[in-house]
Amino acid sequence: MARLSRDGDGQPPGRRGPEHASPVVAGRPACAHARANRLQSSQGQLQTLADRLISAQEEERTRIARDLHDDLGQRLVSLSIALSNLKRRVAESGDDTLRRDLATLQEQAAQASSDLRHLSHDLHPGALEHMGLSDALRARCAEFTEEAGVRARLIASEDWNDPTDAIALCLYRVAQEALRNVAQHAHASHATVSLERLNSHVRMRVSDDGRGFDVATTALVRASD
Amino acid sequence: MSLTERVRMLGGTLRVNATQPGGTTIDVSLPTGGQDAT
Repeated sequence: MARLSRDGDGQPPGRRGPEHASPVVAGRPACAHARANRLQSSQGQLQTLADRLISAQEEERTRIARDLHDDLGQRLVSLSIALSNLKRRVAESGDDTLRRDLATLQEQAAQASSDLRHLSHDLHPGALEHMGLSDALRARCAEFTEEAGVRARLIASEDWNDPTDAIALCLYRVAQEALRNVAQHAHASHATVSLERLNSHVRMRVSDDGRGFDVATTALVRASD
Repeated sequence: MSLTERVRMLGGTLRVNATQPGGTTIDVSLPTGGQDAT
C-alpha cells in the first residue's frame, strides 16, 4: 500500500503553506540551469572525444603511411634494382626464357612499388600539408584523370581561402572517397569538385555524369576503419 | 567512423544524391569556425 510521505513537521509536501512554496518554485529554475550546465559540459566532453578520435585516426594513418613508404617501399626499390642487375647478367648468357621471366618479375616489382606509393598517399595526403586544400585537390584531380580515365577538374570560387586543418582534411577525405566511387562504380566520363564559401560555412560539391551507385557500399556512410 | 559521422562531428552535413538522372552529387557543408583537431 502506498504511503504518503511527510516532511519534518508532519505535513505532506502538497499541503505546505504559501510561505513554504517559494523555495520549491525557486528551485526549479536553478535545477533547470544545473541540468543545462551539465548538458553543455557533456556536449563539450563529447566534442573533445570526437576531436581526439579523429586525431588518433589520422595519426595512425600517418604512421602506417610512413612505415609503408620508408620500409616496404625502400625494400621494393632494392628488389627492382637487384632484378635489373640480374636481368643484365642473364642477357649476356643468352638465355631468352630466363630473361623474359626476369623482365616479368621486374614489371611486377615496379607495379607493386607504384601501388604502394598510391596507398601511402591515400593514407596520408602529404600534398595537403604542403600545398593547402585547393591546390592539393587540383593535383588530385589531375592524378585521377590520368589514373582513372575520367576527366576531373576543380573549381574554386574567387573568394575561396582554405579553412582550418581539421575542416580541410575532412573535405579532402570526402573528395578522395567520392572520386574513388566515381572510378569504381559510376562509369562516368567527367567529374567536378567545387569549393565555395557561404557566410560562415564552406561548401564542397563533388558531381559526376555517371549512372549513380549504391551509397551504402561506400565509406561515405559506413565505417571504413 | 564513416565520413558522414566525421562531418557531423565537425558540425556539418553530408548529402549524397546518387539516384538522380545524369550522375551523382555529393554536397558537404562545414562551419568555418569548426574545431582544429589535427
